[in-house]
Parts: sequence; structure tokens; C-alpha cells
Amino acid sequence: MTTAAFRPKILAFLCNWCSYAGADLAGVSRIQYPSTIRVIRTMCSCRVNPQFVTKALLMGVDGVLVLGCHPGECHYIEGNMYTRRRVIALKRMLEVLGINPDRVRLEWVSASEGTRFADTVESFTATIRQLGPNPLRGG
Amino acid sequence: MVRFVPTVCPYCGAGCGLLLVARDNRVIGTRPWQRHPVNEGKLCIKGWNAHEFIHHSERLTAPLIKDGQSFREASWEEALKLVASRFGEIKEQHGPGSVAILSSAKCTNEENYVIQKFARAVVGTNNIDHCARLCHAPTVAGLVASLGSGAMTNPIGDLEQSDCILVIGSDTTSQHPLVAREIIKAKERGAKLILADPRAIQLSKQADIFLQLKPGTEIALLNGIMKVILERGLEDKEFIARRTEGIEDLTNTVKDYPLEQVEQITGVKAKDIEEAALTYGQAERAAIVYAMGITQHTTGTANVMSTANLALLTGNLGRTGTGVNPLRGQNNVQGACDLGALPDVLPGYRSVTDDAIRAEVAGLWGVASLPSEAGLTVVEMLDAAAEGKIKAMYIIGENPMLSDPDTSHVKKGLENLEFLVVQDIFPTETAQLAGVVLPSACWAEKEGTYTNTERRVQLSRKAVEPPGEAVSDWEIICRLAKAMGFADLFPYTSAEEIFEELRKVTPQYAGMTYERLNQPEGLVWPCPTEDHPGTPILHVDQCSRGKGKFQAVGHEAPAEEPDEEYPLILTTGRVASQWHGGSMTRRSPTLNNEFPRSYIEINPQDAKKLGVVNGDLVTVVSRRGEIETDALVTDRIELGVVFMPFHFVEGAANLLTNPALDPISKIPEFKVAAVRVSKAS
Amino acid sequence: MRYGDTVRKTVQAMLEKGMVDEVLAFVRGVDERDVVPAFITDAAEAEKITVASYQPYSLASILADYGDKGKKIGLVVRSCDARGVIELAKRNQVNRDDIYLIGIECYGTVNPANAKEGEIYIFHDAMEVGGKKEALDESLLSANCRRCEYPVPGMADISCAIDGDGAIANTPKGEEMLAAANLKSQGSTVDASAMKERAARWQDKDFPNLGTDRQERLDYWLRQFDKCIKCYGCRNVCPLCYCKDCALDADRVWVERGRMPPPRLFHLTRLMHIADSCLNCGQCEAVCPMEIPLTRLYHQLHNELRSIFDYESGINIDDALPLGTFTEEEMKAGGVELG
Repeated sequence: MTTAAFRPKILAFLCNWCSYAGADLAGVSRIQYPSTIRVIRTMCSCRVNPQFVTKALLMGVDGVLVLGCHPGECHYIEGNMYTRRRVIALKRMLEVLGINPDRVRLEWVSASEGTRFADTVESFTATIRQLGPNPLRGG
Repeated sequence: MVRFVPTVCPYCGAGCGLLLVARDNRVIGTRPWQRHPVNEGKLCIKGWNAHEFIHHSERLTAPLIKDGQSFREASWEEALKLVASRFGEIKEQHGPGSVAILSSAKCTNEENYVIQKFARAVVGTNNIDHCARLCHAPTVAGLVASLGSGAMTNPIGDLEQSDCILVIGSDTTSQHPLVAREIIKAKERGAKLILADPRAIQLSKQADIFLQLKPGTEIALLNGIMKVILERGLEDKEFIARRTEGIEDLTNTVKDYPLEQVEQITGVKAKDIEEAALTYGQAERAAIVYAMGITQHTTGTANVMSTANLALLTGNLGRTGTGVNPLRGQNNVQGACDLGALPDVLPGYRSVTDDAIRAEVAGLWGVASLPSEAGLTVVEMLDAAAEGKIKAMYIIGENPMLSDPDTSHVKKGLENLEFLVVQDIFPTETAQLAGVVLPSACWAEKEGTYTNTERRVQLSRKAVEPPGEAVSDWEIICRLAKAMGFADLFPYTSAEEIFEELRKVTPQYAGMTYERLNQPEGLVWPCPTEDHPGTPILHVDQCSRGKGKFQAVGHEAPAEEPDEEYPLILTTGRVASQWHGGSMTRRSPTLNNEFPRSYIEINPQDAKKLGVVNGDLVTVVSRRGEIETDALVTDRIELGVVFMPFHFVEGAANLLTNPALDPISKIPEFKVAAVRVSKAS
Repeated sequence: MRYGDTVRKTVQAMLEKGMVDEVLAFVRGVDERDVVPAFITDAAEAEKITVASYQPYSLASILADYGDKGKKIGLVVRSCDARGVIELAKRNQVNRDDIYLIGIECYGTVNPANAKEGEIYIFHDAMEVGGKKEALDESLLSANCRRCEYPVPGMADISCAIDGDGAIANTPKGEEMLAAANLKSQGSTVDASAMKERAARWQDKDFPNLGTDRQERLDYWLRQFDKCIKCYGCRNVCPLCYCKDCALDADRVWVERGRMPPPRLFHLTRLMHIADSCLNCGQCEAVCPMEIPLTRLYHQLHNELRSIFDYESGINIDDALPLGTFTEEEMKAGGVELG
């Protein structure tokens, strides 16, 4: 039922130190990537409360992207360690409930990885296009 | 030391069991009581937080006497002396009929008994009533006329066994959540749920058939359903022949309700009405559940009789999972009625006009005689006060300034009194107008019995002492009676002593004792003798009046319909976490936070026409008054109708409501008034 | 009282010898199907303690909400409650050193509403109703109990048998407790494998197959959540929900107030907060007025997380909470999986 008309709405949480800078780099380097994402910057990826993600999905957002620093590079040393475990748990919760956990993705993107950022958005958008609109309505 | 005290919830008529958690003299929490037969270890949000207001700083702790514009604290002696002398004077000068008393559906059975005894034996008047007048007076009148007994016919737990439940005029998940549970359980067993309501309430998500009708068209709907049942031969011919009278009248009446016409009147599609009729008619065990949507109309009594008609027509009476099930609102409104806090009956629903009955009761009480004319009802009392015919009122545990219709008129009436005494646990809006305010103990601070909607009489236990000088309502009555020279009529030293007396004049309670009641099941009336096990289901072999009577009734328009000037129908009701006038729930943080303020539900199309968006401040005007409140734009409410909860004094819905009364039961038409809504300037 | 002598003997001794200031246990209420919690301070009252198979409250939750701070408190606990206490201790809500856990073996409990008349004792292969032994009727047991893998409370200080003198000391504190009661620590005769089999069988039955239709599962849970009347019962009774300032409260930003049913975020938030440590104590489901089968959801998710994070809730007080910790290897692993 996915048609060309389906424009995925993706919420992207970018950590201030790495992935947001990486996104910025993609911008100044004029690297093209789909305009499906809406960005919210947090200081660290582990600031992303799982409620942000579930609330977004309940509000009808089609996918949620969480980007942080590579392991060992977190500005706060270990924040991304908690993010990783948390997103794994969150995705398991979605699966048990019956929401496709592929609608949530965690990736590590560093400040120098403009291309990687663009590729991540490209790839996730394609995934969401394939999954179709979010079946959840009404929060 | 932490103690767990098993007792009964003070909010609604479900009468759930809970454990109060108390440390020393403070209640610190609530837990459900798993052993209790009604709620089986579950509670709603009100039950869970029933303790929150107990120790609130605004609890009345001392008698207050009005001094100029404000109150000063006084001793019991001074306050009661004042009350006694004023009542005495007014009674002397203007006759006992110039005094009126409002008892409380939140007081215990024992307290309601002594309050009506006080009214009749000390003051000498039948001007005693309580808030049942505003909710289920039509049930009492209507079901007596149809079946012979004005109470819920089946136990709450029976609903789980139904195959089809028709819920009409009840927001069950909000108001009687633990009754809604039984409906949910029935559904999970495969039962069908038919819901008739002007709003898409939460229960509509569970309904198999949702009939969104216009307020005030209930009889048309029910008559339409009965017509279909008769046409399809789904009526219980054997039951009708053996156990009823008046079928010809009914048949004659409902034949004038073809579905196309019913659709015109109610706004409900003919095919949905037909489906509902077939579903109810074909069910092996069908039950009707109703509440204010049936009763709070100028045709309230007729509405009730119409539901009884449907049950009688299909033989759905006297068996498990069937019956006519009015959901009584207050935790003890059933008991307050049972114990005679009503102007036309003594305890046990026996008429005040009956010489023999009066003589019997007078004999037990040791008085020469009792007043023989029926007294005034709630709204009539306030009308009479405004006209100067009632000079003094004694209002116990009620807040007419919030809960009666046409608040400006209520205020006028109360302010016109020569003397007003208010007895309560909090300084309510009504108490503000009083000459004397007396402080009562609340539900957790006294022992006594309460009767829930399924006629179950339960013991409620004391957990802590009342604050300051507050004492239980029955003690206050005893002290006042003593101050008025009637000490010998009120010699009680415990609630149990009162119970032992009241069961002598209340046939339904005659076989009950505190010892027998000391079990989680309590006892269900009628319980005529001490070895009688109680009566969960009424009208088993025959109706209380013998044969069930078909009271044929026709649709009548509400007293005030929308017109050019007031184009919308205002219907009022409640929300899940607030209770009535709000004196308890607005002082309970968890409950108040959930629904903290007044609002009006407006359909999106109506809102658009008015240029109103969600959250806008709007002005709502009726012929009685004007208020400002917040707009909640939702498609839950149908076109042409607006809804307001009545709990909030700052957006008091009852400033707008119509005090037009049902001629039989004198209930006001809370459910229909005509209003105009506009964006506030 | 038909069973539980070991428990009562131990409690009596502990109170007499001043080992604890009070003991929290179930005592018989108004009749044999009614058990209510009580804080017992008088050794003579120990005889009122019942081990009949009813569990209307989590005593861990009662302890956290109403226990006297700074006192030495004994608790008579089934595994679920013992594990609840340990989880609370991990979170600094109770002081484990002040707590003395008298464990009682448990093969399931019943809700008196569903149960037959007469006092009920559930054994691993039989049940006794009103004094008469019968074959075990699993349909009487609470759903979570049937799936439980912890019949013997080895994480408590002592584990007592329901019937007879059997008691095992699991900790040095436990040895002191048995010594005080003049009881010898003796082995259990419980067939643990039979319980594992029963737990596996019911987990298989109750938990939907995650490999199949997601939409059906989602529709099911959304329909269940539609019934919710926001009584907060599940939150109130959960031993792990102790926050005074709860994210679900009406005056917080998360869950929009004044909506019935509440926004789904109510349930998804509590699920996310609890699941990693869910004890499968069953209190949430027991208290839900709208009969939402909560434990089916929470327990299944917990089992999933248990295997992913290799974490068992409530067993060892030194185990760090899975979402609040990480390993050396994880620091080194480059990807988004645990490595």
C-alpha cells in the first residue's frame, strides 16, 4: 500500500557533539539526503528518554532515528553506552507490543562523518518507505 | 503502628471494600480489599484516593457562629443553645411546617434514621428530604409503580452473567467503574452491549451497538424498541400472561412509534434501533442498567417505568443476569431512602399518611403523634424559602449551592431564611450562607452501616478520631435534641444501639444485626428475620406488588427546548475523578489534578459556527444565568448538544440548569436546558 | 491454622529475642478467605500469621510505602515479595541490612473471588481446600503464578516449607534466624523441575508468538488499553513503582490529563520503566478493575530483556540494574548491538 505519495515523517534525535556536527558537515558539504527528517538536538544521545520515542510513534511519526557518538568517543564518556542498552530494550518493547521495531534505529555518527550521516538518513528513509505509514493513531 | 482497617468506600453506590492504612491517628493511604464481594480487590481512582481529604486543613473542627460577614468559633454548648432556641422560636411563631431539613446521602443509615426522627418527633414536620430527589427519586416512584419495589432488582455481580446489557443514561466507567467491570467481564464472555447516550462516552468503545440519542427522547427510543420486539414476536408470552398486567395498554401505546418516527425524534438511525431491539429481545438473559440519563428529566418517572416495561415485556426479571438495574449515585443514597429521609414515607417506605403506620412508629418512639401530611421536596423547599414560607433550614452533608438546579434561585431561597444551620465536614458554598455551622466527623471517623445500590447493607469501620471537636452526625443530633428538651427520645451511646432501634420499624432491615453484618458480604435486603439470608434478586416468583404492571407512557418533550435565542441543548453530568459538588474531591490532589477545572464539550461543527476553537474561553447563557468556562471541542458530543460537568463552582453548570420538575417525583430536569454559547469577549 | 508452623515459630523467636522490631506478614482477616497485612510487634501475635495461598498485596510494596524507617523489620515472603524487597534495596528504598526475609515456598496463589469456599493451600502437586486434599486445579491459580519460575525463595534469608519443619538458611542472617528458633537447616524436598516445566508450559501458552502477525498483537493491546480508567492501581501496587513524583501523574507533562481512556503513553511509559525488573508478582493484573491482562505483557517483555541482558530481577542484591550499567566489552564494541 505504499505509494509514491507516502512521505515518511521521521523524527531524528542528534547528539550535540558528534552526530549533530556530522549533520552540519553534510550540510556545508552540500551532500544530498531526503528531507524526511525533523531534527531535535540533545546534548547527548542518552538524553533521549524512551518516552520521546514512544510519544513520537503514538503521535503518528513513521520512524525515529537516534544518533550518537561512536563507543569510546562520547563527550560524556559513557552516555552512549546507556543509549545503546536503552534502545535495545525499547525496540524489544515495541516488538512485544506489535509495533515494528525497525521503525526505531540507533546509529553512531561522528562529527567528521557527513557522508555517513546522509547515508543513514537515506537508508532509514528507504526502510520506512517500505514499512509504510505508522499504523498507530491517536496517542 | 500501622493498621489496616477494612471498610467501605465513601464515594459511589457500588459500595466497594477497601482497607484504610492508618498510622496512629492519621490515615496515610488506601488499599483495595481483595476479599470484598463487590470489587474483589480492585478500586477506581476515587476509591484509591478516598483518604486524601480526611486530614485536609480546611476540615471543620469547631462549631461556627455567623458574626457580621464572617464566622467566629464557638463552643458546642453555645452553638447548640442558639440552634435550639432559634428552631424553638420559629416553630412556635410559624409552625413546624416552616422548618425544613436536608439529610445526607453520605451519612450512615443510623444517622439518616435519627435525622428523620428528629424532623418528625422533635420539629414535628415531614419537611425532610435529601439529594435522592436530584437523582433517583424517579426510580423509587417509577419502580414502585411498575414492580412494587423501588430498588435495583439484581446484584451488581449478576451483570457478568448477562447475555445482553442495555446501558441507557449511565457513564458507567466514570461513575460506577466497578459496575462497568462486570459489563466488561460479560463482554469478554461473549455478551452484547447496547449503549444509549448522547455522548460517545468511554463505554461506547466497548459497545456493540451505540445509540447516540438526543437528550430527552428516551421513551421514544424504548417504545420503538418494544414495538419491534412485539412485531417480531420476541416478547415472553408466557411471562406476560402469568406475571403481568396491562399488556394491552402497552401494545396500544408502542404501536404509535414506528422506527422512522423514532428516528426523527431521537436522531438514532432506524436500522440501529432495530438491531438493538433484536439483540435485546433475542437474548436469553438481558439486563438494563441506567442512571441519570433516565432519571433527571421532567419525564423521569415515566422514563423509569419505560425501562421496567421493556424488562417485563421480555421476561427479563427475577433471574440471574437480568433485571432493571438503577445505579444509585451516593454511597448511601439507598440507605437514606430506606430509612425514611423522605417527605412522604417513614422508614421502610411506609406512607406518612397511613394512620396505622404512624401510630406504630409513634408508639415505638414514645411520642403522642407524628405529622400526617407529606412534606416538601428539595426544590420545593428552596422555592418555599424564597417565598418566605420556609423560615429555617437544617442542611446536613449536602451542598445545594452546587448540586441544585438554578443556583441563583437557590441562593435567593437560602439567603431569605431567618435561620440556616449547616452541618458538614468542610466549609462548603452552602455553609458560607449559614448562621451556624456544625462540624461533623467524616466516613473514616465513625462506625455505621451504608447500603449500596444492590441493597447490600455493609458495616463501615472507624479508622481514626475526628479532628478538633467534630463528632459524628448522629451524636450532633442527640446533643441538639437534648438542647431542645427531647433527650429521652435520643438516648443512644453507639451507632449499634440506633441500628437495633431502626430495624424495629424498617421491615427490610428487621433481621439484620451488627453481628450478622460483620462479614464482607453484609446482608442484602429484604431481610425480614434473623435467620433470613437476605434477598439478592427481587421479583423471583412474583413482583413485589404481585403482577408487574405495564405503565404505558408516551414521549413528551423536555420542559425547555432550544429556540432562536438559546439554540443549543445543555446536558450536565460528571467526570471520573470529581464527585458532585467537589467538596471532597477538589480537596484531594490526585483527584483534582486529573480534571482540575470547568469546561464545556462542544461538537466541532457547532464550534466552527461559533468561531470557537479548543481551549477558548466561552460565555454560556441560559434563562437562569450566565457563566464563563473553557471550550473543549470534541466529536464525543453530538451536534446541537453541549455538555458540562457540574462539579466546579467557578464554572457552575447549575447556574444555567432548569428547575422544572417531574410532576410525580419532583426531580429537576438537569439533563436538558436551552443555552447560548459565544466566545468570551 | 493448618500449615506454616516453621514460619510462625521463627517469627515468634525473632520477636521474643528482639532480633526485629516488627514483622510484616499476612494474618487472617474476617474469614478464612480473607488475608490482610499486619505489622506484628508482639511475639504472642505470631500465631495469627497465615501461609494460606492468597496474595492480595505485595508486602514489598507495603513495606516501601508504609514501613517504619530505621526499624528492623521481618517479612514473611513468597519469592515474588522477597525479590521485590531485594529490588527495592538495590534502589535504596529499603535498607537490606535492616530487613529479615522469612521465605515461604509457594506454588501459586488464588484470588478469593475465583476460589472455592474454604481455606486454600496450593502445593506443587496437589491442593487442600477447606481441609480436604484434592488434585491441583491450575485454573484457580493467578495467571502470573502459573508462569512463575521461583517456587523456593532462595533469595530470602530462610526458605520454609509450607508443611512441616523444613527450613533452609540461605544467608548467615538466616542461620541466626533458624538458630533463634531452635530449627535446623534441612534440605528441601521440592521438585524444582516440575515447577520449571509448568512455568514453561504456561509461558508458552500465555505469551503470543512474537514471530507472527504484529498488527494483530498491536490491535489486541490497543483494545485492552481502551478499557483503562486510569485508576493508577497498577502503579500503586507495583513494588517497583515507588516514585513519589511519578511520571504518570496528572500534573506532569507526559500523560495528558483528563482523558479517559488515558493516552497510550501511560501504559508504554510504565512498561518501559518497569520491564527490565518486572517480578511477575501479578499485583498489577490482580488490581486492574478492567481486567487488562497486564502480566502477560510485562512478563513477556521482561523475559526477553532477561535473556538479552543476562539479568535476573530480584535474585542478587549486587546485580546492577541492566539499563543503568554496561560492560567493558560494550565500551569496546563498535556497533549498536551488545556485541
